[in-house]
Amino acid sequence: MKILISSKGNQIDSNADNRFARAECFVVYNTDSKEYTFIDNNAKDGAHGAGPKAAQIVIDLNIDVLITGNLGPRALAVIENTNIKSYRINGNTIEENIKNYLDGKLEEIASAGPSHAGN
Amino acid sequence: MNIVFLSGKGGTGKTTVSTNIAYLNGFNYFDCDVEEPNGHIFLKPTINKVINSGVLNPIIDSDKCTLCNECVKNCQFGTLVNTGKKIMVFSELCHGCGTCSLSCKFDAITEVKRTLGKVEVGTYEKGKFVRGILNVKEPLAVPVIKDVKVLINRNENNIIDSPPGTSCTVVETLEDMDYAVLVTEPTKFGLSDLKMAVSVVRQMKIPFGIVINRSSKDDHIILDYLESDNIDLIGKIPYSMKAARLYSKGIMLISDDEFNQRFRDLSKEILKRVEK
Repeated sequence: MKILISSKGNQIDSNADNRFARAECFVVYNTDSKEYTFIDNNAKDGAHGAGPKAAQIVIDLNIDVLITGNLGPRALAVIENTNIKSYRINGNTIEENIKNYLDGKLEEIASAGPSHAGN
Repeated sequence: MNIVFLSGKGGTGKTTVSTNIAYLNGFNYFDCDVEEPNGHIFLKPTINKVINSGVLNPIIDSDKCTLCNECVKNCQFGTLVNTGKKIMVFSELCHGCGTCSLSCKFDAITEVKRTLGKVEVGTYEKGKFVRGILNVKEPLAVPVIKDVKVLINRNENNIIDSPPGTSCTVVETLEDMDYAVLVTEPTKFGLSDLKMAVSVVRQMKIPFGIVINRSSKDDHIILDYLESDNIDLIGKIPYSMKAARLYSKGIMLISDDEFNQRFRDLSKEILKRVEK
């Protein structure tokens, strides 16, 4: 299973980023190989349309679980059209959030946060 | 001849200055500040035509679409997302460039016009009046500005009221302008945004000068910059409670004798520079 977290940095002790599409980078954790991969968030710099672009990155990486703070209305609309499950950040670092997810301590994201919250 | 009024910062007095100058000289007035057009409050035009304004948006035929991803890959605006089951279209992000339909090898994309706003065409007491109005919630103003500007006849004398800022909307408005009047105010915000506006008109090689509105004892904030950067000061409009009162009632400042004279002087100074 592949888990993607929005992150403020490219270390496993970096803090998770509550912004999704405007996050500094994405961290992917593979639960089978226990490996971390760090991916630049190319979606973050446009004036508009970061949400759909970031959602496309998540889809293209074949992610099963997305962990972030808020999903804007467009990003949520995309994610809802896939089999990806999304959960809200609870904890500081990337490592902590993955542990919390695996322990069943994260809450599922059901509704969209405000547009442009991550500007 | 096209004279544009811009500012960088919002609320410095672009519309106040441009409407008064247009009226005094009998020039046509084009409101390109389509997100918040307010020149009509002062010029009180009669509108006799309304034109729909919009962009072409893609519609995807899911029977023909093979999810090949070419359209998604080529879209620069995040309009299209491939979920693996279908292509989702976020129309409000679409700039209408048509790249998606050009890149589709399966003829699955047709383009349909989506309304973003409208253009009102009419006359005011002294000349033509045109304004663009962007619909609420639409982020894309440039197509409406283009639809306003199509109606400009260069052989006539035209005043163009620009949106604030220095983004695409302003750059679009500045195309084909002969002279730019940058209206500012003596505050640090006014200065900061004026500097950005100056860098845009310089890059676009448009001759320009500065008008300080709400001129006060703080003018040095702007004047120091103009001097150090060798920028032309066209004139000043004083800070005045009388001006604020007239403005708040939608009355042109030139209806007051003192301001009438000031705007006549300012007009002369602007036209002198435009005709150079």
